[in-house]
Amino acid sequence: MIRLRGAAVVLVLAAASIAIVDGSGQVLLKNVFIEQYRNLVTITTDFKVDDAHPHPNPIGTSSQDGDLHMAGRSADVGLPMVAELSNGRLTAVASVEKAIHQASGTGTAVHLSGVWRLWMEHKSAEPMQQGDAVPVPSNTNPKHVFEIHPVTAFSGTAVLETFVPLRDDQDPSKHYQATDAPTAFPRYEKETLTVSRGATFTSIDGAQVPYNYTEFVLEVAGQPATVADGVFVLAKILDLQKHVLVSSPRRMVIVKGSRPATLIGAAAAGQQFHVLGIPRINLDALMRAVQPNKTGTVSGAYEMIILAVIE
Amino acid sequence: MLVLLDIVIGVAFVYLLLALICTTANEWIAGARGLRAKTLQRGIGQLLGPLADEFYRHPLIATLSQPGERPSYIPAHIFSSAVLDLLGRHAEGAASAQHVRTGIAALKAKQTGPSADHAAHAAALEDWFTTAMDRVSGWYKRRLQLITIGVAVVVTLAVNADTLQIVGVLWRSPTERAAIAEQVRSGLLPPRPVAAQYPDVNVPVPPVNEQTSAEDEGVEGPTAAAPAVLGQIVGWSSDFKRLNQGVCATLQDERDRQCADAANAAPCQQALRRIATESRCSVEGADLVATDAAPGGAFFTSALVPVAAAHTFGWLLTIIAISLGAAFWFDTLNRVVNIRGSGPSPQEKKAAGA
Repeated sequence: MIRLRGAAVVLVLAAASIAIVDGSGQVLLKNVFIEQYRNLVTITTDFKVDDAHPHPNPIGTSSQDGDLHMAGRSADVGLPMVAELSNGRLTAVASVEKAIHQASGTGTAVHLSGVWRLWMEHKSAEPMQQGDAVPVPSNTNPKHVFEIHPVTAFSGTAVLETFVPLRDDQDPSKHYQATDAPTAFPRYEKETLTVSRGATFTSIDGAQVPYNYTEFVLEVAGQPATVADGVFVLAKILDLQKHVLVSSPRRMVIVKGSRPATLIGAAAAGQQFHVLGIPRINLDALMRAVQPNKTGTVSGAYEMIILAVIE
Repeated sequence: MLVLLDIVIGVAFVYLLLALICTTANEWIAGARGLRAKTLQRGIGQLLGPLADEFYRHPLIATLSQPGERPSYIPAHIFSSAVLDLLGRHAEGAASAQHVRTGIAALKAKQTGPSADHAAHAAALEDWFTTAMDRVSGWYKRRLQLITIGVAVVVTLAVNADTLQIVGVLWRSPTERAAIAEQVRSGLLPPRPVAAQYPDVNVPVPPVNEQTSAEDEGVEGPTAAAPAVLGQIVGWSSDFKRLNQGVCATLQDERDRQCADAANAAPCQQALRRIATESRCSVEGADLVATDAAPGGAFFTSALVPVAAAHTFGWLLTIIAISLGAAFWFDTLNRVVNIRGSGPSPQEKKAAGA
């Protein structure tokens, strides 16, 4: 009888055109948060560093990306989260790394700025609701979908010099090998997010997506738009041999004051740049695709955070 | 092949909708008649024998339901606590409790050996209760199945859901087939994803008030359409027409007879008035044509016999089918839709293109 009832409920739901949303692993964001950040590049918050890696990752392939990982909590974000200092093997950021380690585990919040990044890479099997109590992370990489990555300023010290190709100043012979664009972008494009917009919260769910750092060529498609903390520009995506991989323009996210902002921020349509980037969910595209109080599935709702222009 | 699949989808869809109606009616009937509570009471009666009435009056049990009613569910640990309490109040050897004591003793001896331990008593009782409840659950399912068949008969006849007729309509009408297949697809399959887009490449940060949603474009909820589609392939319309034919023939005969002679002006007028007010017939030229209006008294006439005979086998198939339950048809529909969704085979495509 329970099965019958379940089937009836499922049918009614289906008949009412309500998408059947698998509740596992979804993230529920506050609508006010989404509205605040959907068209901003970065977030600035007070962040308690609960745990930090003793050293940045080495430079190599895949996760050997030179990032310095830290896990922590922020009342503004209200989600399990991590922050990552990109290009942590640059000598120029050694003092910031020291500051991170000094702050780690003290329980004292530090002022942290960086690019907000929502991405289904380390999602939990359980739903995460913004504002729920966040447990103290037991390591530097707890289950999370929200990151501040890359960090742009830690405790008042800007680290915009990290927006260059990844390298190890201790061993300049090492070069980072990012995921190649023809591998990464089809996977990003394939990702379908289920979005359900409620009165207070919006739930977002999708499959776990691999491939962080990706090297590709962007071709500026239209005029860049400057916002308070950076630049957004729509661009086609090409592989390194200049073959078009994604012809529908995708949004590029560029941090104000960074080297990519200098180069791409004033570019004209048609200009191409060889770049290194990481994807994040495009909250603006999601909100545009699904009306309030509706549920829908959206594909191609990602944007690329530009970390470096490879000149 | 695809036509056949669409027909299977259509038939399964009708069965699913009718089975859902049956399920709802079943639940209502079972609730109204307190079937679950009565079946449980019968099971408890068998378990506790003379102690059953006292058991139901025990505060632990009486508080599980509204005053004056019997609970429809009793957790095993509540059962054991209540029974142990009752046994404590009855002296060893008391006739009313002997039935239960014998049962517990037998179970304990089998499981843990003889012991006066309270926990062992409780465990034995809970085990006894759980086993008995499996049997009670079986009784309940069988009784519900009988109700299901009864409801299925009523529903099938009420909507005249004749499987053979449904298959015939779907076979002859590609539009009905397509409408149902679309209903099922839109209802069961997840919605197609909307592609994230920026319509103006020069506006990567659009003003919020200009945002639109592709989700709302051209989406028609199937909720209202489902009964409409169902109405096109089941129902009494064509049979009502057939039953009304006799009424119309009688009226036409009467009119022709009365109005043939100018001397019968008054009876002729009367016959014409009767025809004018008769919703079961419409005048087309000199003839009276049956409509699909409810035949009223004409339903229970000898004309019903051939109609019922023509439908009997189809009704029987429908009754059996919807008695299988909504879950069965939901699963079946999902499977068939998935097969249908995989599209034609390369050979079929090639043949179609040739």
